Amino acid sequence: MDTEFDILIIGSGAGGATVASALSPLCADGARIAVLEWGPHFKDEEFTGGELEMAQKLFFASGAITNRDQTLTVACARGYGGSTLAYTGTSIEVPQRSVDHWNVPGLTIADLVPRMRHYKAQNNVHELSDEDINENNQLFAAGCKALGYSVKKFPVNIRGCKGSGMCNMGCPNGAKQGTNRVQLPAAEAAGVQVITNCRVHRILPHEVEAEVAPSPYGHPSSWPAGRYRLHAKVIVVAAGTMHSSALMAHSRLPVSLPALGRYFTCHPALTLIAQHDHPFLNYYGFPKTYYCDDFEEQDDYILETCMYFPFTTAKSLAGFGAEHSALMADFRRLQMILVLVSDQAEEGNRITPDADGNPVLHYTLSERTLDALVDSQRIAAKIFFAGGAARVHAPAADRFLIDKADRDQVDRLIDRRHLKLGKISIASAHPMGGCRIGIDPKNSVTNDRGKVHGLDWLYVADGSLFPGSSGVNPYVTIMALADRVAEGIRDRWRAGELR
Amino acid sequence: MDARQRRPVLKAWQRRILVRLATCIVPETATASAQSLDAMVDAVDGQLQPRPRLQQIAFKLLLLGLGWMTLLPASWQASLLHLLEAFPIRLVRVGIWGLKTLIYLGYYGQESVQQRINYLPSKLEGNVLLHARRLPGRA
Repeated sequence: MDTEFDILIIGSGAGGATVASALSPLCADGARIAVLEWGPHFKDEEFTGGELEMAQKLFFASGAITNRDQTLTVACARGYGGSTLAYTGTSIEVPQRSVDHWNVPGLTIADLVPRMRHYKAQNNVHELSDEDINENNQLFAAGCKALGYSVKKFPVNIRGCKGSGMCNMGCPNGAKQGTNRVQLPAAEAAGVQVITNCRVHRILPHEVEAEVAPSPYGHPSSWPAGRYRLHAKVIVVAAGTMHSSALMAHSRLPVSLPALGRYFTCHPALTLIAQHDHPFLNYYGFPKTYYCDDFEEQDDYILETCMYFPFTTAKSLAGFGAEHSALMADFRRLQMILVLVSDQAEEGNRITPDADGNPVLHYTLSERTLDALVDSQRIAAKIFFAGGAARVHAPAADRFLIDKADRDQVDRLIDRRHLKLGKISIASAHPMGGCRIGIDPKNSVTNDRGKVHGLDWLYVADGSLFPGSSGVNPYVTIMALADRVAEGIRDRWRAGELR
Repeated sequence: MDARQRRPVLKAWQRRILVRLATCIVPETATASAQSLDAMVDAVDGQLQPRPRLQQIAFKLLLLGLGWMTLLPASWQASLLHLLEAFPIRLVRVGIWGLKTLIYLGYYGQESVQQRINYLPSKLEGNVLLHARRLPGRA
């Protein structure tokens, strides 16, 4: 095995694969570039759509890494393509107000927009035609319009979608244009090596300690099982927000980085569920078509359509017993809305490593976030009823189901005092921060090009770069930031600094 | 990584308590087949196996703590669980949430249960069925 590289990239998700593809033309110029991916390269037939099976295969801790006080779960996938294997593919550009709020000199919306559009074009991002929109989505749009809320269509990155609705378990038809379908194959074709089943244990100056271990899934790794010490002129950490901070902190880097792991945000989310009197077409077709961001700027949340699977749905309901079973009895009558809160970047919300380098999340839901979670339930309940729902489940209501006869009472029935942390399922699929971009090493980890303060050989290129929450589904923004990182490395290569 | 090759986390008596508690959380499990109940408990065990030993012990302690409750009449059990679910101490609420979540995972994660509640997705023909406006499942 060649253990000498010019550029080593740790992770193959939205960040790592973007860096790999953006730098891959350098291979023609003699650059040796490798991507080290912890998870396997799944075979197409391994995307079975089985809820528990795919959760176990794709996600760390089956999709439920918990924070220390166990009031929140975070989903992070691994495998060739990282979390792009398991996202829905909704492709929203970060809004100017978020970038302005980040307030990082050199990082502007004008710089990010062309990069985001480049990757959106590469990933075939477009809006669904009306005939492909199912009734779960249509009811949301109808409800929003009836109440005078604006509703927008998600641009999505699919090609040849067959409407399985299984996006979050890995598309069984290869339709979702994640990095496993677009950037990684292109990078490999240009000469980048991708080594799967390869976990990086530690980062040292110009060096990583890595281990290839067999996996029961996927194509065999191109490298034999064993421990390796790999050398590189430049190392790019793109292991995903949770793992990048943990890996770097575990590595005891030769600089002081007081902000490492800190300012973590994650868009805490609730899945809200309503029941209709009659079955409708809710889970055939693409699951996530519309969103409403009327409340993002003032109230810190957005509402999105979603359609999850039976276990995920059952656990999203606060309660149990006969009323829970009655709601679950006919899945075809369920309508779902996801609310995502833009949480504030706070120093105390942080990731630390355990003794093995795995992430430990210290995260407290702030009063502001909890208020937003309650208010968003009220708005979602009104949208459900305006769309024709017969009953609504809101975890912060004083009862398991609010009947449509009480629809005028939702502001009173849904109340903060009923929102008990630990009782309800608050989940996150958008971890961000921990290696935030900035100027001051006291409150940031990298410069505006993702280079770690004080180390000219170490970069970060994933969601951990976010100085604060993006306010929208983040993958397109991650790709744009990773593209900036790649640009900085490419400039140094061309200037001869890395040869 | 293959759960089948590992030793079970739960002992036989702990499995029995879990099944009895499940009837309070998902009442249908009272009439579920032995095969379905085994599948439910196996799935719970499979989730516990890769978890840290401390979490496994915490779950076993929870089962031990709640085991006596299954001797009570069903309505009492439900009242007590509702009380614990919203208990003032967060740790208690988290424990009940964990128990419920694992039972839901073990039960609603089963393909036969998913079919019974009319969750019948199609890997290849979701859009075809959508365009044909064909509702899945029983009438």
